[in-house]
Amino acid sequence: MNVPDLPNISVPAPQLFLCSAQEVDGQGEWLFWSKAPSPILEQSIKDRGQLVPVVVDASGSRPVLIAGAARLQVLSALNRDVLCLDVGAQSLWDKGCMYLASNSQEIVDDSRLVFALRFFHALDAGRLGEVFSALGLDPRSRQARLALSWLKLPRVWDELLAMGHLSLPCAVGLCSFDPDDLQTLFPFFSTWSWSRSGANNVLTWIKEIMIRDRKKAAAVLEALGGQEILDTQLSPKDAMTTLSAAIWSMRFPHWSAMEEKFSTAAKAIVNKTKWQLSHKDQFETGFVELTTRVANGSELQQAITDLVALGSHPMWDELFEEKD
Amino acid sequence: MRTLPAYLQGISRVVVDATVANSVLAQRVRERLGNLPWEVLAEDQFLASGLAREDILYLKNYKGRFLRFCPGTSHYQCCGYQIIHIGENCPLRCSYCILQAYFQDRVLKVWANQDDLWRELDQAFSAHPGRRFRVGTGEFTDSLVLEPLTGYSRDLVEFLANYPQVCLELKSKVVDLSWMDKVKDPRQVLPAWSMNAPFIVEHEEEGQRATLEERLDAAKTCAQAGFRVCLHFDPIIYFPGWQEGYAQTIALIFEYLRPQDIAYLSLGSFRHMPDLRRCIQENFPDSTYIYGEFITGLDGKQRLLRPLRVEQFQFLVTALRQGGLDKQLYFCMESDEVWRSVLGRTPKDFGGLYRYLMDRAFEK
Ligand code: SF4
Repeated sequence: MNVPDLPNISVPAPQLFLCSAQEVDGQGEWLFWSKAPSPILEQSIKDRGQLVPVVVDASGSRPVLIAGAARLQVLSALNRDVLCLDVGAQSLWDKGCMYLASNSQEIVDDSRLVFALRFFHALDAGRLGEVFSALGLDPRSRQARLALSWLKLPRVWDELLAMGHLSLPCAVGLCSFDPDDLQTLFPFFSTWSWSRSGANNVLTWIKEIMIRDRKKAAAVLEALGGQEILDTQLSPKDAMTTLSAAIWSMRFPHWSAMEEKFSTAAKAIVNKTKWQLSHKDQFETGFVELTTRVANGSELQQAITDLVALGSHPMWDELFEEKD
Repeated sequence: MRTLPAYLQGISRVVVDATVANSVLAQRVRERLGNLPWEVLAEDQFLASGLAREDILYLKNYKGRFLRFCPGTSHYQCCGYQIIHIGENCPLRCSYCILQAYFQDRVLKVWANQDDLWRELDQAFSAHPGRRFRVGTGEFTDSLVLEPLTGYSRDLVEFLANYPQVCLELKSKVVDLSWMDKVKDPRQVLPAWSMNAPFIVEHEEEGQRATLEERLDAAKTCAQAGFRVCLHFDPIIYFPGWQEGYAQTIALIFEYLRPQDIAYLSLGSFRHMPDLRRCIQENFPDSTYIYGEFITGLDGKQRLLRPLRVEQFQFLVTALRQGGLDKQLYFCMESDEVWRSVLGRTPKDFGGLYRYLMDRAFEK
């Protein structure tokens, strides 16, 4: 270890020293937000060298990194020595706190919040208040409450949150499933990236079918051909739409049959015209609505001609339950 | 001391507002529950929040309005009856009970300042001597469930004897006919019982409610004493086997009652706001009917998909008509479209539901 000259101070104080980057152990579990260094950081270190020391605990056989993973990674790739600030032996909790403090400028998004809470929660769930205050977050806030719910999920789900396949509010829906049901659901969320409402709908409907039919998630997904949809060559968007539609049909069999019947008849009636035919109020009333758009007189004439013609289409009987 | 019915035996203490501690009603309760701890709340005191339990009977000095219109709902045909508010909550436990979502606590509250009630009712009824009133007490509580303790309905029918233009409906799921001997004119009171499929009564009406047979037997007793009764199929629930269930109940009705014994019979499909759904999920996790095919109705409430409602209504109406009921049938909170497709008429055809039911209530 090369120890640089330091000012002569009498109180025990963090010590600065230089050592080879490879020598530093950068695998600590408290480095919960570690990510690949940004090109800007890489360039800056290349051009101007390391301007800020990394924080280490040098009390053991080799320095253990507490904060500064990205800098260490760049210096290691450049095969350069790393300037370390030795803060001495620290508890796991304090290492985590130091890591948090030295990353205080980072934006704490939902997945970062969960990663941080996951680490501290495993050490001492009773002290999470300190973590929330270090993060500047009200523990009663919706984000905080959802993140705490998320911690009830197996750790593998955290990565899906980080990848944006799911969002934090899905914690509520996901937590209503047993571990084996969660395992069944996992591939459907690790394969595709869901919008918040898309994921919530699918989770809600599956759960409700399970309760209604007293079935496990595996049986529900098997009955609606979940694995086949997972294995299709469809685009992710189409595959998710197909899966959502299948789940919705199973959850609302009569309603979906009515929608299908309506859409078949409506398509036939307005076929080759610019008219659109829709129903209102989730079939709560028997009204249908015909709409079109015209930009000039001749389009208007055409629309009127089409309207007269479609008025006598035989499929109307399929739509109107009240007969003349 | 009389033995209390099972559904009241869970009451473990009585709390009373000091201002009504000496009221007739409080004295009566004291006589009947003399063995229980009795706590008087001074005027500036409130029931502690830790005491929000159903084992507490709270005799309260009620400051609000006693006579109100039923909240009804927009876009659907409402029957327009008026509520006489006598208390809140109920010791029975029906999974679908709206009171779970209405009230924060389960304390059994009784408005003990009856003199204020009589004054308000007298003002309302005397102000319009020519106007008829169809009133009921079964909106925020069961009309008869606390009767063995309070004698409220008994007092009410006695009071109403002076107002022949008022017809009182007593709606219940228990059997208590102790008020009957106070009725001067049986045409002024409509005893009413909730009906449902036996499976629903068995599984969704927890607590010591009366069986269907007991309810109908009580209705028969009333009919034999010159009363006309009301029956309410509300909420009608969509569950596997509903046809057999509702058919069984309808057959049972005609074993006990003749069509002319029934003043009216309502049909209402299970409808709910999200709050009630949450309560049912939490309080009755085995109740799976909430996972039926509900859509958001025109009034914002969740209701069963219309063709399914219509299918159930048609089934019930056909069976009820076969038994001789027709003019008595009406829907609670339904659209004209549903009225037309099931009953072949809408309230407009007979001058509005409010007037129609008023006429039926006062039919001699
Ligand atoms: S009897 Fe009526 S008030 Fe009592 S719990 Fe049942 S639905 Fe609610």
